[in-house]
Amino acid sequence: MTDFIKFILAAAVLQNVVLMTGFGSSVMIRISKKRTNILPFSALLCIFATLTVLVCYPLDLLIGTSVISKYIRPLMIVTVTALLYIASVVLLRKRFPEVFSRISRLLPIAAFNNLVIGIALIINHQFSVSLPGAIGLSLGACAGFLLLSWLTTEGMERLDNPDVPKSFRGLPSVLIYLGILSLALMGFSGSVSMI
Amino acid sequence: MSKVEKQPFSKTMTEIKNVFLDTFLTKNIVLVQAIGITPILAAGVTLQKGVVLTLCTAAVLLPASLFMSLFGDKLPTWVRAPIYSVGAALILLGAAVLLDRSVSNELYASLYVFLPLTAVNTLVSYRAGGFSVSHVPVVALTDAIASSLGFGLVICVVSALREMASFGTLWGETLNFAIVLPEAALPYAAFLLLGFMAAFLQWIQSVIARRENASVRLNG
Repeated sequence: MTDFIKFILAAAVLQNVVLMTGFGSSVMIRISKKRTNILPFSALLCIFATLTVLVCYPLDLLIGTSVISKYIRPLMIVTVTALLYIASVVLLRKRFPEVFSRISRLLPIAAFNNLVIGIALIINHQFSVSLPGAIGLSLGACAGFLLLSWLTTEGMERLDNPDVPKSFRGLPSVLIYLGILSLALMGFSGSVSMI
Repeated sequence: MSKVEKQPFSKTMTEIKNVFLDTFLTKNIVLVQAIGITPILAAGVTLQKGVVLTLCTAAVLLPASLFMSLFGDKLPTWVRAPIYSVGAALILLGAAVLLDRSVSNELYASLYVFLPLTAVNTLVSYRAGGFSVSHVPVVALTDAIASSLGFGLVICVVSALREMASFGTLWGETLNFAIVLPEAALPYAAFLLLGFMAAFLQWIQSVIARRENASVRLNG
C-alpha cells in the first residue's frame, strides 16, 4: 500500500511523469488545445496504461531476464496494448455504439502513445517494483497527465495576448512555459529521479 | 480528387516540393506541429543518441507511410493504429538487435526504453496513420523523408547543444570547455531549447514574409 501511494504521488505531482521523462508530451500539447477533450482522453489513457501494466506484469515475470527477452519485451508490450485496444473497440461497438462514435477519434491516440508503453517499459527496466507500486505508477502518470493538460490549457489562454513578442506566440511560449514548470518541479523535488 | 485518380506529372512534382518544404522546414514537424517531442526531451542528450533515434524513426516511418498510403484506405479506420504500431515494433526489434550486437552495447543500453517508443511516436501515428492514408505513395514517402529529416535536424541540434553543455563533449570527443552544466541533460533544458528554436523559426518566417510583401509592393 505504501508503494501504491508513494508512486501515485511521485508520478502525478512530485516528479510529474510528463515533465520529468517527456512521455506523452506531444499528445499532451495537442490535447490541451481543446479543453473538452482533456478529461475523456485522460480517462482513456488511465484505462489503457493500467490494463497494459496489469497484463504485462505477469508476462514480464514469465519471459524472464534472458538476452532474447530483453529484445522481445517492447514488442510484447506493444502487442498487448494492440490486443487491449482491439478488445475495447469490439466491446464498445457492440455494447455502447454511441459512446464509441463519440470517442473513436481519441481511442487510438490514447492506446498507442509513449506514456502507456513507456510506463510499462520502465516498470520492468529501471527498478523492480511491486504490483501495487506498478499500478500506482500508471495511475499517477495519468493523473499527472491530466493535471499538466489543465495547467497547459490555462497557460495557453494566458499566453495568447499581445504582450508576448510576436515570434514567441503559440507553440514557442507553450514550450518555454512547460520548461519553466519542469525546472520548478525539479527545484521542488530535486534532480534525483525516482521514476 | 481521390488519391487513386491520375494527376498531371507537373502537379505531382509541385505537391512533392510543397510537402517536402512544409514538413521539413516551414511547418517543421517538431517546431511548428509539436510532433515527436518525447524522444528529444528524454533521450536527446548526446549527438550519437540523436543520430540513432533519427535513423530508427526513418526506418519505421518510411515503410509505415508507404504501407498506409497503399492499403490504408482499404482498412477500417480503427484497425490502422494496431497494424502500423505492431509493424513498427517489429522493425525496431531488428534495429535493437543490430544496435546491440553490431554498433554499441552501451548505446543500446542507454536507449533501451526510448528506442521501442519510436513505434508509438506521434510522428508515426500522425504522419503514417493520418497524412499518408489520403495521399499517393510518392507524396506519402516524400512526407516520411521530410518528417524524418525535420525531426533529425531538431533532435541533432538539441542533442549536440545538450551534450556540449552537460558533458563538455561532442560525439564523445572532449571539448575544452571551462564550464560544464550537467543539468542541461534534464528535460527542462530541452523544453527551453525547443521553445527558443521554434521562436527563431517564426522570426525567420516573419522576416521572409515582410521582404516578400515589400518586393510585391515595389513591383506592383
